[in-house]
Amino acid sequence: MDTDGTINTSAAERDLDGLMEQMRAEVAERRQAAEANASSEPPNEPDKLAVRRWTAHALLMLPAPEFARAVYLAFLGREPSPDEFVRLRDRLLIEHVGRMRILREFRASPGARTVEGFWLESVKDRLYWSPPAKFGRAFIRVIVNIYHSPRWTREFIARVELLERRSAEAAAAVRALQSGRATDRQNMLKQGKQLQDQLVSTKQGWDAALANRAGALENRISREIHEVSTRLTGVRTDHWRAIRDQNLRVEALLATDRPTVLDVDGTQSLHDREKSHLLDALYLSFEDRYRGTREDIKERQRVYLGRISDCVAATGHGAVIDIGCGRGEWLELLGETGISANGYDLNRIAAEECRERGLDVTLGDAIEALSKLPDESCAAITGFHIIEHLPFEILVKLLDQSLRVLRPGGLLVLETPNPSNLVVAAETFYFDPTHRNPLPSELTSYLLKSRGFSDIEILPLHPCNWPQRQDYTDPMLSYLQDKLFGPQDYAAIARKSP
Amino acid sequence: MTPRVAIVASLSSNGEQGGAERFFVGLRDALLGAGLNAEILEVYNNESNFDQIRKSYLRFYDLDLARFDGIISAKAPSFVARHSNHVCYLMHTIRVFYDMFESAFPHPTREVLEQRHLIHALDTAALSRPKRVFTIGEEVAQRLQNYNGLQASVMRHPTSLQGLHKGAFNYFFLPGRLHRWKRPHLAIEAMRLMKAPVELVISGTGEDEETYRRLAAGDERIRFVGYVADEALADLYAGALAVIFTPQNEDLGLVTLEAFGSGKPVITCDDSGEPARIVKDGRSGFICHADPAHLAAAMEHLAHAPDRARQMGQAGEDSLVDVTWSKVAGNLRDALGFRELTAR
Repeated sequence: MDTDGTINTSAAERDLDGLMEQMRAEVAERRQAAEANASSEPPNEPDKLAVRRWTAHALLMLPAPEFARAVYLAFLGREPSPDEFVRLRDRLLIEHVGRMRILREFRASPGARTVEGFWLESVKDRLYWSPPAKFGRAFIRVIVNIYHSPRWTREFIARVELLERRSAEAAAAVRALQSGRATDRQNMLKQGKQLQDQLVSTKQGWDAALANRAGALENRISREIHEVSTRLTGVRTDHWRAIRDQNLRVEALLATDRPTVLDVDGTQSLHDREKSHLLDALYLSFEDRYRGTREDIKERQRVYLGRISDCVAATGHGAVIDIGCGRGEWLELLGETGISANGYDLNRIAAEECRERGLDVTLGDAIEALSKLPDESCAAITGFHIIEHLPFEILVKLLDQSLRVLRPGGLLVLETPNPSNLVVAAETFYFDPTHRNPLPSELTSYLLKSRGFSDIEILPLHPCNWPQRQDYTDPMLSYLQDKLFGPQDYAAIARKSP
Repeated sequence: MTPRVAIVASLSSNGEQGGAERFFVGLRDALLGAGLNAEILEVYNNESNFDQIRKSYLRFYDLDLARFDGIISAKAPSFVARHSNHVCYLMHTIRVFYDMFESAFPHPTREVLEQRHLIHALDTAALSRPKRVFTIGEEVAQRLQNYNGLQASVMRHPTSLQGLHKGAFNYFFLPGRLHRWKRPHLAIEAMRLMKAPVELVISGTGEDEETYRRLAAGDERIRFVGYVADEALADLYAGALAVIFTPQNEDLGLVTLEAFGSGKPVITCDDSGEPARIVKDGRSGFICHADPAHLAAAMEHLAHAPDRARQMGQAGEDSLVDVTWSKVAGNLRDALGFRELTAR
């Protein structure tokens, strides 16, 4: 900024209040002055052109319109007519007629007055336009031009240089922008490449996802087909059993002597007998659903095969008896291994199904059957998921009869749900409505020992398939894991001392 | 009891509804939001001649503001108002006596020089009084430092124009008053140097409007839309390829903030004042020399690269996240010493 703008920092000027009061006084002063002015009206201006006594010199100084009017007033003593005024003004402004020439014309017109200083001005004019004077002026002009020319040249060159510099700057700016545009194009190309790469990888990702999806769908379809076919098989089996059941009942009716209405006893005994088989079909279907498939069970029971075949070989001869053989998986497994065995079951349809498979199964109460067998006539006795169905006295009776009919060194194998697993004890045990009491392995083992068996072995079986299982260092967690996901069944294996 | 705060606003003599009025409303709403009982106190201000300027200074000086707990002044000469709890958020002083002096008075008389001297002395004395002086931009703070030797904190405020949004990138947009200080002729002349068939839309009115219409005559790419209401203005921003804003020593220039708010780059000049500080050359717009050829080069570039314009506009928008009314109001409230009162 220029020096006029610098601040006077004296204390007086810093004082806003002082400045404002000073200004207030000025405003008041101006107002008074304005009021005073307003009270004195200026008089009307007289027409200066009309009242003036003209000299030739004064006329020549006037602007064109005033000159046109004043010339008439000065020489002829009257106002020009509008036409005269316009004509004279146009001669001055458009035709550029010299003023001195007009003065001479008016001076020469008839009746013209004398105007002071006319001759002097006329002579001055003639002298001004005389050839020597014109030449002198031209000469001076040339001298002056020569004097100024170096400065003009410098200014001209400077101006050209400035223009050149400006255009160079503009060109540089344009170049900068153009190079900016080139960088943009490169960036865009790079972006395009990146986009292309992204597209390719996206497509690959989709392909993989589609393949996965297709694989998953295939798996799901085959799994569902398998499930449906399993269910259909189950339904077919159920129906088959129902028909079978009806057949057996009808046969039983036909086999009895035709009861008459009066033969109350005969009707009653038939009724009682049939009543015990009323739920056979239901129970078997239930086992189908909850126990597992035939193949699963055979696979699980394979664990006993070694012991049984060793025992059969050791005892020399003698039968293997399976009590409560159910669907006969174990009998079938033994048969496949070349060990002859026979089974007992109370379920009429189960026995019927086993027989259809060519297995040796007797319909009836196993303990009654055992009690009819001679002493030391069997190599091994097995009972899968039987003892938990039995009242205590019957269980004891079963153990006693087994000990009696086993040959020395013979084996008794009893498999039962393991209540040490809390889920089994609290929940799954009760899936089977015909179960009575869970049997802790200690109780079973104690019973066997107290009834005279020896070499008692408890074999924990079928731990839960718990995918999150891990080795906890915390003893509580480790204990809980065992209690919740540990073995769901156990087998008590006992030997009759040789 | 909520503190009662007056925003001392100068009501301009020609009744022109400009940016300043919107500013006062925006400021009041923000202060209300900050928990102050703020109101706008409009006082008549006339700068048509020096006698009127003198009277206007006295009018503000004589205001009785005892009923307020604090006052905020903004525009010359409101800061001469007297109050013990006074904060100034300076928009501008009378610019013809400051940076515009040379162009307004190329051959100053002794009288005018004395008047300028008086105004400088008055402003310096008056602006030494408030508890704190903020300015709306770096430009104003610089001027205060250069001419009055006073320090101030810079605190930008956002636009009060509602409804800004984003749209296509179609035309160059030149909003604002058609006045020689805003130099719209630069863009009009730049259009002559451009080959791209892109439009230049000029909105607004002003005392030099006729001159610019004549200057643009014959170029059918240049379109004058005259005065537009707020909503239409926001739409014009939204459809622009870039906004051209080439004033001389602009104090803040809400046009820049409004353009950024609409995601548009701004083409401005290196002598445009605050806009040249807000715009980052090549990032959120272009800063050219005040020369049609330079402007034309930048415009031509953007006309061929609307994507670049979009990126630049985005960068501009991102640079404004800190400029909010609530921040402005919070700072003013703290400067007035009402922080504890309203925090309760």
